[in-house]
Amino acid sequence: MLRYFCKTVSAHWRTNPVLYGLTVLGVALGVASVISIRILNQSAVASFAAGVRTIGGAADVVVTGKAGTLPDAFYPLVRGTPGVAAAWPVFESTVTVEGRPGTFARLLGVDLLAPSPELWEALSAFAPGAAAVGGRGWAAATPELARTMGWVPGDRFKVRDGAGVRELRLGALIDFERWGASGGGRALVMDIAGAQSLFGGAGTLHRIGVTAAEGADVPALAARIEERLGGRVDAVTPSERTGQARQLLGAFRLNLTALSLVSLVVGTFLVFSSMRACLVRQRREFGVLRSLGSTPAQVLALILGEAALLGVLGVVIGILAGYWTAVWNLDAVSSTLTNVYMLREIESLEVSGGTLALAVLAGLGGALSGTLLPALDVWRRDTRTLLDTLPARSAGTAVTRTLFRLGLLLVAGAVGWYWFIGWRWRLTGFVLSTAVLLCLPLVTPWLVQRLTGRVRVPDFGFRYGVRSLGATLANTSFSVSSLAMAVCLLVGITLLVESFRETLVRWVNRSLTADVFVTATVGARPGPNATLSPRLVERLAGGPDVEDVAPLRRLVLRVEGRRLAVVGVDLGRPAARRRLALLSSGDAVGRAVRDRGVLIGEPLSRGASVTVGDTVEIEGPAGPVRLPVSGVYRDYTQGGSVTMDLGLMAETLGSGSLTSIALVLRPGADPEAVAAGIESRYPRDSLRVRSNRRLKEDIFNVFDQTFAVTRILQVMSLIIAACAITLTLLVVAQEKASEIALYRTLGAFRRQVFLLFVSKGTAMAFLGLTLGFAGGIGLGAILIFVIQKSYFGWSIEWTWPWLPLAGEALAIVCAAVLASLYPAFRASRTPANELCHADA
Amino acid sequence: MDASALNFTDVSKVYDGAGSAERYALRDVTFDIAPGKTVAIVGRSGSGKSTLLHLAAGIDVPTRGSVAVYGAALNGLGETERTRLRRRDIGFVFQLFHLLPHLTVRDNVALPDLIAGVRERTYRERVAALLERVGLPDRAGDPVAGLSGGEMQRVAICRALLRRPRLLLADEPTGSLDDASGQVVMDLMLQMVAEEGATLVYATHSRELAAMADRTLRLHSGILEAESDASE
Repeated sequence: MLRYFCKTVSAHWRTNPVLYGLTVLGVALGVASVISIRILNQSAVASFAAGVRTIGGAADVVVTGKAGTLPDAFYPLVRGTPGVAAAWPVFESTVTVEGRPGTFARLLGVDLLAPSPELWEALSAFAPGAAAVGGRGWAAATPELARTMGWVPGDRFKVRDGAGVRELRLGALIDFERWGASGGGRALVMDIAGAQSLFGGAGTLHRIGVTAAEGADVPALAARIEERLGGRVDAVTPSERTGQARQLLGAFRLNLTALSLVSLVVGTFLVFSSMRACLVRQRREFGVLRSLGSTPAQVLALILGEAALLGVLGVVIGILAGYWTAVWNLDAVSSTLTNVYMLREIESLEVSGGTLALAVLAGLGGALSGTLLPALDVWRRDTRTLLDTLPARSAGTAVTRTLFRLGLLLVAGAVGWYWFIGWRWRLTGFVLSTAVLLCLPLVTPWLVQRLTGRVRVPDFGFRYGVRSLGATLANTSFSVSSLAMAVCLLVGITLLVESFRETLVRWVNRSLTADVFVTATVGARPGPNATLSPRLVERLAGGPDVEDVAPLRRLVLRVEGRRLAVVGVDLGRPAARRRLALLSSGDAVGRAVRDRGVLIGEPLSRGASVTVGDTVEIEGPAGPVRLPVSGVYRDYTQGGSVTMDLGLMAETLGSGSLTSIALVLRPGADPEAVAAGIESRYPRDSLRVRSNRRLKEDIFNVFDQTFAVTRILQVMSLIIAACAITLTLLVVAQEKASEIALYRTLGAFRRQVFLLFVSKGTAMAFLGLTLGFAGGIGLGAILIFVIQKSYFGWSIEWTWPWLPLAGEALAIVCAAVLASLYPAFRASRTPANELCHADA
Repeated sequence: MDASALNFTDVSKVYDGAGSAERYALRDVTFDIAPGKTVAIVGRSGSGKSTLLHLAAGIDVPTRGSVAVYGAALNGLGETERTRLRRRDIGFVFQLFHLLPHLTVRDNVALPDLIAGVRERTYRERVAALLERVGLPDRAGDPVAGLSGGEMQRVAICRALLRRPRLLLADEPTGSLDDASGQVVMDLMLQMVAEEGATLVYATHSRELAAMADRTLRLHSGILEAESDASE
């Protein structure tokens, strides 16, 4: 039998290389789609973790200020805490390299004389002498940054932060990561005093890294540091920071998870249908073998052996293709990480053992499991049936109806469970989504059978093609349900993204009504320690085009255990009342002013289970403060925010300068010109000045970049549509060669057969689209009303994005028609005497 | 009236054999069949009976020689024209019936008209009449899977005769049936062909069935060995 196996495999390759090649390609594409996304996902997560290491250095504990920054004076206190072996202060900023917009670098100011032995050793090896490294403008760069920029030691270059352009001199190239010190892929390290002086942060630190003494209890040490500094700092371990980073990147990771799910569907489908296509061709051969005395087990072994062989080939090619796909998409994902989240980019792709195992599982497992059902079908059928040239229908109505009822029951059960119990559980949305996705393949066979069975056939055209789909129910259902699942995911995510965007548009339009926004910055980004001097505010308010000024003071504090923005505004101003989209009823703003309460964002309300009438605890610089909640407003920031009256803020959290102001201009004034005028007039102040239009653009750029990765979804759906239809029609063309020959004998032209197959492909696309849209609407509702609320606490208003949905539908139908062309061409070449061969 | 229903003149069909050797399926076959006649092609398996029928139906082309159906030389026709001729003038009955399992009895019979783009109201009565003629009027709406072998072949004959072909070709039409059923089917086919005024050419192994034809052509290894006329 082994000899027969070898002979038959090589004969199959020789006689039908196209179909065999397609089968291997199908498996390879499936594997590639699964692992490429996984590689990107893992590499992104590794980058998050590395980003946390970058922020934390090799510290056991990282100390940051509750108000965002730390005064220099805290450093000796931290270093003197019992259990601290070493501590080093860090000043940090993010800069862009002048002349290279979009190239970010993390600038770190470190105390080169602090007991951070690895770093000191690294620096000394390249630039002996503290005087050299401490010189004004001296900076060490990572080799990667220098390579990207084409710098060599001794070069002078300029960097830009919010305050302006600074010139630095490259003193050394140091691979900081190699030394386990804080750095990252694109980093510049300077002496802390030089960095503070150059980048406008004298006396300010961003964190203090701490190494615990040997044998010290790290969590206890963190608690001791917090206590020693009077609760004005957060002392956290790197693992806690990783958790925070994961939370920060929630939306982005959700995207990648959705993509992984799609890729798994694509992969499994491609592998499954590729093997099925291959097997159909051999059905009669197995009949002959059985008639010659082979046992069913021998035939089963032959089928599975060949599947395994093709699977292995596909896995090998798929791993290579997947890796290159990940490389190809690296820039898109990487730029999102750096530009949106200010984390470092993905520097290297992580191909773990788990990823390779998944590739083998998806490819080989998919090939074998995809083969198993048709193989078992061959195994249980009698020899005569296998030899039939026109096999009968595959499934009866009773079976398909049972599956249909099971599908409905599954969804009804999931909804019922959610309604009574599951709503309390955070993962419940994923249970509902899975139920919707699994329902689709269960309801498809019966629906296809019913819909195609009801089609009247007036001619041998489109409707005959639709009707005959019911005759190949197993193939058709598989193809239609795979397509429906892909469309379902696509539609669901499109509904989520577009509804979210539309909600954001309304929210932004309501919140941002002023003409020009002026924000104080430290480095390139706004920070709680970046403030506007009262004199500057006065000058800006007195500008010739300025009619009114709305003040805002923003602090980052711990609220109910979460680090959130606490915003102070003048709640007495009508504009301030208008800009908050309140969810609670009544005059919440008036209540807040009257009762000395705060208004909280929806994510905080949901996350901390706090609502109107409750109180929230805010850890201010002078200690915790508890304030009543007067209202809840729509809020699309990560984790939420707190808004209070400026007066109350000064009373309870200490007085301080404003962090930004919004200018309302006189009628006829040009906001762009005013913004440009302020920037040029106050170049030494660290300001970010943006017109209303520019600010909105920036907000939507970030949004679009966050969800840009979903475009891969559209491409994948098209690939699914095309592959599903091509493979299914190729299977049908093989399986139904005798039937096509009969049509030809009875007088059907080649073009009629061609159009018949294109009709079948188009009909499958429409069936998949219809089912997918129905499922997608359900999935969209789950994503918007369940998952988003439970994960992010955001209320998103449902929107029908007709145009994007119509575009996607059109693209899928076009892909389906194109995908039908080759199988249709092959089918149309079926000679009429094929049928007579069967008789011979 | 046409001079002949089917004319073969020095027809050879050669297939590539092992190596460079050629294998003759038919060699220099010449005959002429008058309209309205029934002709049996007899011979052993591999003698070239099926090849002859394929050439006559225009689903294969001769290597040499010419084939003409009611005066239309198939050699000169392209694929589309041969299909058009087959649609218009030729019916075919297969040994294994080749009914489509996903269609009902009625739809199987109507298939040639469906392919030809004929409207249902035009062929509805004709289909009913044919099924009535073969004794299956009550089975019109049934799936074909439930039919016996004899019934299936009767449906196949109805399908072949639906478009009133002038030439009916049948390849071992009783080959899958027992003797009794085969005899019934053959009788029915001959009667219907006579009623329709068509010419029938059928291949068979059976001497008895061959004897029912007006004329018999005997093939041996692709060569037409003998002809006999029932009137002789």
